[in-house]
Amino acid sequence: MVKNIILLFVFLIAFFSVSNAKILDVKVEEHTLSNGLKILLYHDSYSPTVACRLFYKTGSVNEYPGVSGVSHMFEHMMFKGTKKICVRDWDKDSVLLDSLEKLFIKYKMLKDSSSDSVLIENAFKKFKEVESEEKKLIVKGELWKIYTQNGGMHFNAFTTDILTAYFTTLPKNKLELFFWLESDRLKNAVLREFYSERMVVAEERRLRYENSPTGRYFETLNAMFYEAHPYRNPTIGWMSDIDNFTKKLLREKFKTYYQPNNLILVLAGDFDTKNVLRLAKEYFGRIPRGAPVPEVTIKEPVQVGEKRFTVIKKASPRIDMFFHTPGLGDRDLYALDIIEGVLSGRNGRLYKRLVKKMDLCTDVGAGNGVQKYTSYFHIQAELKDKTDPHVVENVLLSELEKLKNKPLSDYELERVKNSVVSRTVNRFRSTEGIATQLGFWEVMSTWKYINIFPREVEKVTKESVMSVAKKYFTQSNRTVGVLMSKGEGK
Amino acid sequence: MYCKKAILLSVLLFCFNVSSQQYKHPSEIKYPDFEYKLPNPSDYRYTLNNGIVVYIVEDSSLPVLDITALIKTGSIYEPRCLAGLAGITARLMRTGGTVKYSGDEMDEKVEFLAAQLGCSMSINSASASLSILKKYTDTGLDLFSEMLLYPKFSQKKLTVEKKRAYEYIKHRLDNPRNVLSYGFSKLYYKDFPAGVSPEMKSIKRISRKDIVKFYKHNFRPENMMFAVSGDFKKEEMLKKLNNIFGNLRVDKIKTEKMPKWDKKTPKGKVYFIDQDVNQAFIKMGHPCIKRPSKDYYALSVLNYIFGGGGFTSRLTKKVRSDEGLVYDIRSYVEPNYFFPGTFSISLQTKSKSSAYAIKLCMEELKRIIDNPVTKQELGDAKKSLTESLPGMFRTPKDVAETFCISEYWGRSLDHFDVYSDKIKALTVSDLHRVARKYLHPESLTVVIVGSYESCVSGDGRHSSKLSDFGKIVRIDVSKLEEYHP
Repeated sequence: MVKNIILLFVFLIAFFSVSNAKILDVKVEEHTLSNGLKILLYHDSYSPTVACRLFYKTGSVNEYPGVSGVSHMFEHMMFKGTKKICVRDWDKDSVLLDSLEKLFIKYKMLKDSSSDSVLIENAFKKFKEVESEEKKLIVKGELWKIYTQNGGMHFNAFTTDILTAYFTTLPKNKLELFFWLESDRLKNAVLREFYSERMVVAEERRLRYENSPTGRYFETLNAMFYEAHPYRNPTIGWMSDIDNFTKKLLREKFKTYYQPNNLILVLAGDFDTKNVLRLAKEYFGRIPRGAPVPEVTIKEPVQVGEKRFTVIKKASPRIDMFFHTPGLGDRDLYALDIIEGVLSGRNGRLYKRLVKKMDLCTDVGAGNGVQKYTSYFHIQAELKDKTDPHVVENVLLSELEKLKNKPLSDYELERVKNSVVSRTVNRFRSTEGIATQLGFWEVMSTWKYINIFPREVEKVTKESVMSVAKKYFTQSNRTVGVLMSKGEGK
Repeated sequence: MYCKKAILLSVLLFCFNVSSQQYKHPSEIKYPDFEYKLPNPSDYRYTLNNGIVVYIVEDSSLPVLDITALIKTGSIYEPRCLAGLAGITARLMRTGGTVKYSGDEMDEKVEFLAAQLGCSMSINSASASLSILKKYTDTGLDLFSEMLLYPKFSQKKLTVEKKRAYEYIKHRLDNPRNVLSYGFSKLYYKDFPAGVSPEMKSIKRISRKDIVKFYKHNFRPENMMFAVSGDFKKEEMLKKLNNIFGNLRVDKIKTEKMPKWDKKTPKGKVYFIDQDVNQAFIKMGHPCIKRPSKDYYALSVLNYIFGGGGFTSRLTKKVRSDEGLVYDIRSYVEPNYFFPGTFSISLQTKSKSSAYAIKLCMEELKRIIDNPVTKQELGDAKKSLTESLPGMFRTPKDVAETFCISEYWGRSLDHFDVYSDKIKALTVSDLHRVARKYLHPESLTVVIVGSYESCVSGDGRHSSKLSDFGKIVRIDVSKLEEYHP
């Protein structure tokens, strides 16, 4: 019993002053079950509800060519129920599901290799017949129904490059429901309605990427920016990969990554810690630890020269500039955060020059994309139709040169540091927001970065900004994307 | 010290160790008693010296101040020939300078204080908002009141805003989702202002004089209400608000005349907007009810069962889950208080599935009109809807804004208290009655955006054709802006 729960530490809530600015110091309780499940707890009793989150540490960085999108596909399948949920009779269902899988494999084999259309059609019909039988055993949407009927809100999930998150917000007295349903999903998930859901995911890809004016542009730019690192994989998956997902592949995904030792449970809201720990142990504590998940070992090689990419299509013209920067933990990222603030916003250097003064762009901005393995700095400009992208590119480069050669003014530095305080406070506007932040940073490294990052940004000096600008804003470290509207630009 | 604590905790845990795994299904879980008490609007409602209504929610958990003003106006009141006037007025209030500050000075101050300050316009309301760290409360209120009460609408900034609008108009039809939204509004509402979008010509016509006139006519103290929340003492905040807004002259509210809407729709008309994409983006709708209406709740619950209830809705179960044809499908009953709302269904599907997907929607629609919903469906929907009520009051800002908006719509103060009772009282026959009264598949205006050839070719497995749903009127996306239905 003593070993089951290891209390690591508890922070006390406090405000402390740094450079005359008050920064929130987050109070979080951190626990780890003996099977490796990490629990983060944040108390906020304004509303009698609890934002509940599960973060599985797996996403598209764990994928490779041929199986891109499998993490996201699995996220969809987690809504299809378990051996106990969304099903009337599991024993019968399991038999039919096995049969369905075999019938589909047979149909696909015939479709790929046979020229006998009757044989193919018959195989398809047989598959549909069994599918229709199996559907009779399904209680559709039961998971959703149980949550919403118990006051569950925002029940959903999302997948990113490094994580897959499942979440809801429950009334404080219904917390046990979250533990019941989510531990059941972890133990007993069933790949039900797999074939129709694969088509749903294909529709999602069409909707979000193929029929969005910038969807394919950014997908390609990303794959070009990263040469080796799996950050280059689109989280949704390439269409040919989605079309060829198999249940076997998904079972492997489940077995490898859906383990308590690869899971972070986050609660934010009004709850009693003792009760939560009891529930965690009762529901998740009995699930045995799995094998350690495979590490992402691929390192992005140093870029050897500038990369460029131009797309001409009917869309708002834009230019994007990406630079490789180090992964989380490197101190240079704090200075890059200051640079983001200096360049961004209506009062930032880029907007003032390119929108207000030169009237070349409709919007501009910069982002310090802090990531776990290797990060990026992104500058984007949305151009007016007649604007020559090369002119804007030169202005962007000249602004980066200024950062290298001329120290920031005191005023600029203070303005940016103020915004860091504000951003930190805004993250705590809702318990959902804080729960997501805690889980995100814990997957990245540790939730403590919520406190560390703004504090370290406060310490950044004008000199370090210049030094970092010189180090990363180089030609050979640059990838440039240009999206030109049909018939416009030079 | 550390070890002792760990052991003590483990003993406590052991005491609580009832076997939760005994529950075979979550429906068996016994939850601790807890009665949720809705916040009472009267506890937060105040009036300034001149009668302006303010909802104030004090909360010191974060060092911030949030203030939102709701203004009774909207783009529906702008003249058609000046479409875009209301939106530009709102944007220019933020960017066009004030009596005390130029637009650029305003930008500088707002960014230096890391505040968020803005003004926006919808079809039937406008809002101005400020979010700022507590320590800058007075400066923030000064900026907020300058923007709301003393805008200067600089000609130079008007030119900037107009250029911005031109760029937006040039590219608004690049995205099929926007094409559907623009196209549906135009083809469904026709000349009614709710369907009128800004065009190059209308933006060109807008002058500073028009903006000043629109502002003076609409942004009047008697049209304003406020929602304030954050880290302050309520009495002090009231005093500050009275100093700024409480002495403004408040006249009698003039009720704006709502334009007339000719709701007659050509029966079974299908508009097809040609665009080179690999999905069909579909929306179909017809006029519904204007609130307040005694039938609204029955229709709302019916819609939850039909297509509004997420993964449990009939449309999602059939078209997404069974057939795998869509990522997103849902139906809506717009709760409009100013003109009749719309019942609509929207979805996207790969081109060749478009006719079959519409057919499935039509079949489901017919089914819910012809046959009463089941008691189980009704019970489930009622429970889900009533249990979600606390979600509207999650944060102090939610509380202040939800009550403020509710009063803006003209609801009584006990609206949320009686909401659950009204939902719970509904019967299967109530829902069947409103289904037959308000849902009319033959009156749906169907708008499809997609590649025509790919859509009409069908999926090769089902016999449905797009022409099954009415005469198809084809419009090329490049001609959509000039098209007059």
